Amino acid sequence: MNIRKKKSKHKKLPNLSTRIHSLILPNPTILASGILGLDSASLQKVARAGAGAVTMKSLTKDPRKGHNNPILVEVEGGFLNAVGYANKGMEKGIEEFQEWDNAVPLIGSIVGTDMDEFMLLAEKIQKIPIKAIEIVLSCPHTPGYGLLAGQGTPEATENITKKVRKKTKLPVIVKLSPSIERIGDVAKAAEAGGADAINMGNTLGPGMKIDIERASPILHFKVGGMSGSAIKPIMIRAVYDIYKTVKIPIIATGGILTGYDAIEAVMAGATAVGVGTGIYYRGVTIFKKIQQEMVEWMESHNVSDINTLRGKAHPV
Amino acid sequence: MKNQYITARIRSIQKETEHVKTFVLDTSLPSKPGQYVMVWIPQKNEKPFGIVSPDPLTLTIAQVGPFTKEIHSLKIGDLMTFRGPYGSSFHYDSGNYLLVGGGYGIVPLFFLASRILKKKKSTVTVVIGAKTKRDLVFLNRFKKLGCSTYASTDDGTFGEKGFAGNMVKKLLEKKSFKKIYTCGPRPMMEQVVILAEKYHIPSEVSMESFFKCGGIGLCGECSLKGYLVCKDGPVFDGSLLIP
Ligand SMILES: Cc1cc2nc3c(=O)[nH]c(=O)nc-3n(C[C@H](O)[C@H](O)[C@H](O)COP(=O)(O)O)c2cc1C
Ligand code: FES
Repeated sequence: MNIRKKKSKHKKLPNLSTRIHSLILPNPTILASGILGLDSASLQKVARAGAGAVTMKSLTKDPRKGHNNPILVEVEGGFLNAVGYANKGMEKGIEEFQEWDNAVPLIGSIVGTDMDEFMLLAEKIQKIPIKAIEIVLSCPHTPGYGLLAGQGTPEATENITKKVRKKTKLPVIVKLSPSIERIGDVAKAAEAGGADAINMGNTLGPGMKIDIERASPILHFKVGGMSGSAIKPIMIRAVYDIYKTVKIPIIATGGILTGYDAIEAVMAGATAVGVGTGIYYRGVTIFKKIQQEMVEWMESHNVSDINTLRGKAHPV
Repeated sequence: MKNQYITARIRSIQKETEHVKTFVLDTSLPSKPGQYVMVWIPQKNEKPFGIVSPDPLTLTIAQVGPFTKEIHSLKIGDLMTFRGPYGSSFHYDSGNYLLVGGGYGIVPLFFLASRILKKKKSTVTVVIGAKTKRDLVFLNRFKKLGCSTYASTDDGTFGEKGFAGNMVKKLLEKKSFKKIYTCGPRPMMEQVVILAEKYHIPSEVSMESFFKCGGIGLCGECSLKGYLVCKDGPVFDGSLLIP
C-alpha cells in the first residue's frame, strides 16, 4: 500500500488490514457486486486502483437479459437501479473469471431462484479461484429472486445458507437487505445457517422516480433499489443492530463515499466496507482516497489499528 | 444533479433514406463532436444516439429494431426525451483531415466536419462506405458543408465498388492528412487504423457498444479492454484497435 505521507516518514502507518475468516484484506474496502464487475478487465482495473477485494456481478444459473432501459436513474442522494440481474449466466461467467490472478482477492456472488439453484451455483462457482462466496438474498427489484421471492425471511435465510455452507469450505458471506425490519433476526438466522460474514447490505427500497414532463416512472421496471449517500444512515443503523446480535464479521455496504463514512461503519460494528455507487462520485480512485482519509483520521486520533475501532459506538 | 432528463418537441423531420430519418428538436444542447445522448421513450427503452448538430439538437436515427421503429413513428410536435451529452469527443484543431464512415457510422462525423471547417485553413475529406446505394446517407450534407466526398458501395450500386478501406488506401497513396477519424463496423475501423499507422497518421475511432446505464459508468455493460465505452469513450485513440 503506497499511501505514505511525508510527515509519517519515520512513523509506522496505522494498520488498515483486516480479515473475514480466511479472507485476508490488505485494506477494508471491497468493490460491491454489480458495479462494473461483469468482466475480468474491469475488475482488474478496480483491483489496481487499490480495492482490498473485489466482488463480481452476481451470477445466475442461466443468462439473463435483465430489465429494459432505463435501469439506473439519478435521484437526490444517489441512484435507483433495476438492472434485473443482467448477466451472461454461470457457464460464461466462470469462463470470464477463471484466469483471475488473485493479487487482489475475488469474491464470487451468486443469486438463485430456489435452494437447488443456490447449491448448484455454490458448487460450480468454485471453478473460479475465488476467496469467498457471497449469496445475495436481498434484491428488491427482480421477480423470482431475493426479497421478491421471500428469501429475506429468517427461515429462508437459514435454509439457503445451510445448503450453501455444505457445498464449500470458502467463507460464506450472506448479503441482506436494509429494508427488512428486525434485521437482527435475519442476521442471526444466517449465522445459525453457518455464514462466516454478513454483508449489510443491498439497495434500499424499492423507490420510484417519476418524470413529470412524461408523467411516467423513469425506470423501465418502474421501481428500483436505492443506493448512495441517502441510504447510509439506515445501513449504519442496520449494521449497529446486527453487531449486537451476531458474532460473525459484518461488511457495511450502502453509501460509503469517504474514509469518514468507513470509520463510522467500523464504529457501528463493521469489519470491512463495500463501495459501489461511490465510484460515480469519486472515480475508481475512491478506494485509495478512502484509505488515505482513514489513515489521516487515525493518525490524528492516535489510532494505530483499524480493528480497535470496531463496535466503538456501542456502550461498553 | 447531472443526468437529468430533458424533454423537447420535434421541430422538423427529414427523411434521409427509406430507413433513416433526421429529427430536429426545439432545443439546443451544448456538446462536442463525438458525444451522444441517451434517448428515452417512456415504458419502452432508452438507447444512445450520436449528436449530429447541437444547436438546434439534431439526431439522425436509422430504423433497425422495435425501439427505433417507435422513434420513427413520432411526428412533428411530438415530445422527445433525452439525457446527456455523454462521453469523450474527437480532438481536432485546424488542418487537413480525413473522415471515414461505414454505413450509418458516418452520422456522428458530421458534427466533427462542421466544426473543423469553422477553423481557418482547414479541409475535410470524407469517405463513406455502404452496403448498397439505399444505405448511403449524408453524402449531400457533407458536400454542401464543403467537404471533398468519396463514396463506395459493397455491391457497386453507387460510387466505387468495394469497401471503404480500399478507397482510403488509394487516397493515402496520393495525399496525407493530419489525422483520420473513423466510425462504423469494427473490421472497417481496424483496417482504417492499420492503414493510418502505416502512413504514420494519428487516428481516432468512435466505438459502438450495447449500453445500459449509458454514460453514468456504473453497470459495466460496455466494458472494452478495461475501458467503459459509454464514459471513457465512445471516442478512443485508434491504437485501441491495434491487436
Ligand atoms: C447498478 C447496480 C447494480 C447492482 N447489482 C447488484 C448485483 O448484481 N448483486 C448484488 O448483490 N448487489 C447489486 N447491487 C447493489 C450493490 O452491490 C450495493 O449493495 C448497493 O448499491 C449499496 O451500496 P452503494 O451505496 O455503495 O452503491 C447493485 C447496485 C447498483 C447501483
Ligand atoms: S453502459 Fe453502464 S457502464 Fe457503460
